[in-house]
Amino acid sequence: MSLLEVRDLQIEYASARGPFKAVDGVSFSIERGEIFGLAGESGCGKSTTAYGIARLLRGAARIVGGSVRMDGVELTKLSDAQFDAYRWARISIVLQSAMNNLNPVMKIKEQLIDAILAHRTGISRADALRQAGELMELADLPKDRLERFPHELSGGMRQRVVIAMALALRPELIIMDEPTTALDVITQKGIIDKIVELKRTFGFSVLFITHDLPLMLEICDRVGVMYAGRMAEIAARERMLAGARHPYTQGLLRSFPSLTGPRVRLEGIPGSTPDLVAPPSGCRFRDRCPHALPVCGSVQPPVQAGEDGVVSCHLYAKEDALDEAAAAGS
Amino acid sequence: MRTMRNIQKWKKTLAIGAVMAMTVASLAACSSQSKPNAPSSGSAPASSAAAAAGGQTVSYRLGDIVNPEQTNNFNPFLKTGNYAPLFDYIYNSLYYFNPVKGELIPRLAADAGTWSGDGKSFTVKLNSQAKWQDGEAFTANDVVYTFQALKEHAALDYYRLWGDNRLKDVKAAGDDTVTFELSAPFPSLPNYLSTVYIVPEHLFSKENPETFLNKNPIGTGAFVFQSINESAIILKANADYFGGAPKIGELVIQRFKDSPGLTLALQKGEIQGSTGTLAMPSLPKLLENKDNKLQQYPGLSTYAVIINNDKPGLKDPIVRKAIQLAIDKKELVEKGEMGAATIGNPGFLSQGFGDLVDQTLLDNPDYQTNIDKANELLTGAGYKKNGKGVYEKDGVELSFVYYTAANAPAQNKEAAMITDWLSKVGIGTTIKMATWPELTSIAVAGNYDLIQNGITVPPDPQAALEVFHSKMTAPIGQNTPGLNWMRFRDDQIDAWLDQASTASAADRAGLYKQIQDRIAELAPVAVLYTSGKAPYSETKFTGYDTTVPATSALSLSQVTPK
Amino acid sequence: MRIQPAYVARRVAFAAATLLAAIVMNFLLPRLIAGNPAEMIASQTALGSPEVAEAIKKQFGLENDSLLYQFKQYLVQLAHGNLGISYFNYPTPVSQVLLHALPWTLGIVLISTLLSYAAGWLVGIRGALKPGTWFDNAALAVSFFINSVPYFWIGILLILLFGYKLDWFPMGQAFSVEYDSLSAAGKLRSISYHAVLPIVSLAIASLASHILVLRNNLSRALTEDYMVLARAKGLSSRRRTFQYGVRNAFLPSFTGFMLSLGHVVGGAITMEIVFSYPGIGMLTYNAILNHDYPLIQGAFLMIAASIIAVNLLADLIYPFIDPRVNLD
Repeated sequence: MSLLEVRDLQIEYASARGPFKAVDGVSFSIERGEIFGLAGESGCGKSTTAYGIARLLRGAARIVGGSVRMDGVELTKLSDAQFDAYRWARISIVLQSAMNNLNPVMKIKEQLIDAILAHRTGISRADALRQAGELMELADLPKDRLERFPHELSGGMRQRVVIAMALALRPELIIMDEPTTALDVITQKGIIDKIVELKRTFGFSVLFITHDLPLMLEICDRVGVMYAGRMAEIAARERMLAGARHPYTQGLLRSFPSLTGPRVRLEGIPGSTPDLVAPPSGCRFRDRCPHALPVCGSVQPPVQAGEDGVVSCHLYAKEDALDEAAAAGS
Repeated sequence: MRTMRNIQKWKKTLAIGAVMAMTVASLAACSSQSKPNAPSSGSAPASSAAAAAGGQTVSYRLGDIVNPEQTNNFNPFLKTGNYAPLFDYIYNSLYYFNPVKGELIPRLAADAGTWSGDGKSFTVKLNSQAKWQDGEAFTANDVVYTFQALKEHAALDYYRLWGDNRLKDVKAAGDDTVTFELSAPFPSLPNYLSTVYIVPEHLFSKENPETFLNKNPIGTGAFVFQSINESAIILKANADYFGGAPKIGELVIQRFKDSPGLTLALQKGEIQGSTGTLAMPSLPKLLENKDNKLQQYPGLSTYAVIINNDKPGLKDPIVRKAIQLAIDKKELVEKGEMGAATIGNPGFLSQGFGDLVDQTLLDNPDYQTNIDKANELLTGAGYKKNGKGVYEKDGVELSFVYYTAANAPAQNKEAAMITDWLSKVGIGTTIKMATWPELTSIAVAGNYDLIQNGITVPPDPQAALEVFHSKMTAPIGQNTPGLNWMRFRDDQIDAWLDQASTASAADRAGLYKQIQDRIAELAPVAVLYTSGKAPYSETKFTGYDTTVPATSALSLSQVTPK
Repeated sequence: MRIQPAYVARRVAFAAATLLAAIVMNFLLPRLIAGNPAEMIASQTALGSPEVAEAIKKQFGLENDSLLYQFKQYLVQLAHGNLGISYFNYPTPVSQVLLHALPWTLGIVLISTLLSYAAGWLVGIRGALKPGTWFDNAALAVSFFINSVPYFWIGILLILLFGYKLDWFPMGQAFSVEYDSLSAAGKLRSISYHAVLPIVSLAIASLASHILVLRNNLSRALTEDYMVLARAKGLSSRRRTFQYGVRNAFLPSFTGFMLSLGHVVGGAITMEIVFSYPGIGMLTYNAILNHDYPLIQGAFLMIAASIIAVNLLADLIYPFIDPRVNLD
């Protein structure tokens, strides 16, 4: 059984212009010990999906359909009190480094141990502090930083603290939302390496969200690409590198330059994302898709699952289309 | 850990607040204890007489504005640091000046006193019934001591009784007679004797009267000082009072900070009277209850438009006349003072001085309000209205700064009425507001054109009229030594006043009438009204003596519970 | 700890310099009000003569008109802790006059300040956590209305309603007339009973801003990422609200609170007038009207010293509350 199974998740926002579904029928699963990436443009719904899973949605957004199962337990049906037991102990998060991730008025050590103290009833403060020390070591941070305040640490160090913090209760799933976006590439590499190393040590899964596709392809085992609230394609890393199936993914891949290899002409994807309050019928990508078919305008593309991935596109609508394509080596 | 600490923080704040409240309350309780509340031996038990049926003390509550700086001492010699009306209830002077009738009532004197033939010696027989509230006998020694103290401490002699041509010596003849020796005739002496409270020699002689706080005042009056706190001054009835023990057991003077609060308490019945303070706008509502009364008498304060006679434009008597004629005093009193004031006499002397007042001036058509006449006078004298509608002559525009009191709604209303009338007679004004002390200060220094204020005179008609003597004034910029803030100088009035200072009573009456006529004619001030009032309630008490101020000691010592 | 001695020394030095400036200003200001008190008293008594004025001047130590001389006197006395003798409360020393009124002011104004801030903060927190509810809207609307209305109107309204019409509370004064004959418990009861309306009126008059500042700052703090993280950690809502939310949002409110504390000693003159309540406010006002130089100086000095002291305290406390403060 997968660690996390998301089926047809729908999350609706109430807005001034009317309600809209930021996440409209998204399905994917995450295996144990796997780093699963969720990619897409800004506003595609990837963060919303993640927050929805972790029950961290802000007031205006609600899950209105679908299911989220962790180890077979339907998370959406749990009460707040029951879900609290999952918080941090089984699902933890790491947020974007540019923002105020850490409470500016609390010492690092306090922030590291407060989750421990909240969940492990009966543990003494001394023990909790010792654990905090261990966490700092895990993240390659000097222990004296425990007595410091967040503003006394560099951006990179803060992010390491946040990662260490996410590990405090040895969760099974860590959701990382743009964890390295605001950092310089050197620091970024250090952090990414550390994440991978920790994953290997502790065996947790990661839901890695970013708009930086190349980074995602470096670190993730599998990647899901979202567009306009829907999952366009899910594929393993190798599959992606070999050449994606969904036209959108292809467009994305073509938008990123490669450090090595021959110079190629960069192509963006013309047009912009649709308005989700009044989404277009059929495939939401059709207005920007170079391969659009007439049927794309009226019928929502079916989700085709194959051996090496999932695609939601009329190009592969036929049964076994994917397997054929795989066999054909495309 | 931290969570608990935060909740604790809030609770702690509230807890600290509560603890502080208790601490402060007890501190305040202790500090107000520092005022003496144990009366000296001998007076307390006997004074609880006059209990109503059932042994409960009948308490009469008076209200007044008493500030903290008015409770530093109970020394009747001092003019500051005490609440003057209090002395009326505890002490007595030789004579009491009754502002209702303008007469002198003998108190510690047994008679009206006798003058020697040359007018340089005044002998007073003393009231042998009077006794000090601590049981000691009242004798001539006390009177002699009191006046000697004024001689030895010039700072206490506010009316300069020991000045040139006045008191030379005060002597006792036996226990019950005192003689005042003068350097020159001083007919006003008895009036001035009413301003000096007699103090007990046996308590004051060992102190310096200039600094003695007298925290446990012992007098000869109807009420004995019991205690004081921030809320009230408590006096008990003096069972051995020479005028007969008061029928109320206790007189409480409740302390307020403003007149509306006092008036509300009067309305509610929490207090039964006031020594004069009242929020006039609330008067109609107060009088809706038929038991509430407002006693009105002329009093010694004359409210007027004080004119700076040295300023260009105001130098001209015609202009001052125009001001006088422009003001409708009747309407002013009705609308501004709710009808609770006495229309002022153009001759300045308050109705309180009784027969000495020239009554004919009140109805004299020359001094009745007449806007047309005022305009005629001005145009007749060569004044022409300029572009602003204001009269002008020889480059002098009749445009003046008009001062009135700040935070005094009745005064401001009257200012609006008066300046409106002045504009009708072509006199332009700019209104400026100032606090009462400031008004006094600019009046004294002469830095003004027109001020709407009250002039309070001593209970002596000579002194009242000497307000217009040139010796009482000074040039603009210098402080006047007396009340002639108007910078008014008239040789004729000076001469008559000097004559009157040593004249016989009959001659004085004639001279005073002449002086008043001239004052009305020359109009150095535009008299408005005189004001004396005592609000009282007959809901719980009756028997007020309205021949004197209804809430004075003389009246309250008669009052009985219903 | 984290605070350098240099920081403390600098703040203390600054406070001392401010105090010195305050002392000089205190001395000069009353003398800028024209009018010599001795002459005023002399002129007010109808026949006040120059001799009487001179005698009074001597009494008050005003014989020498030279400012420098008077200033020297003032400094010398101050060094001995002597604030001088009040002219109009003669011969009571100024310090005694002030100390007598101080407990009342501290009692009412301090308590109402504390209550007002505490209540305002609690309402503000609730409003930030649950914005747009009827409680939030009603609390804001009512408190703003009361804030916009002149204070004396509130005071008088309370007196009319609870004192005059309903007779639940006394209409004024600090304690009942029978105070002196009450037991200690009775005294406490009397004082507390009389203190209710003044404290309530002062507290509600300034409630609006206390509510609003914290509410808005907290609303903002709640949108920060560390709040999301705190929720993700499964921390109790109380801990999240206070340790994460309020602790961050509180800083401006703390500053405002300390400033208000500094001003407590100045009294609340409108309250003192409306409720006929003893206190420093009216004392100072009357002192100014009376040109009572020593009392004015003493009162202003006390207020200045109090504000400077509380500000110094705030400066010293602040780094503990906000670790981001630059201590240079």
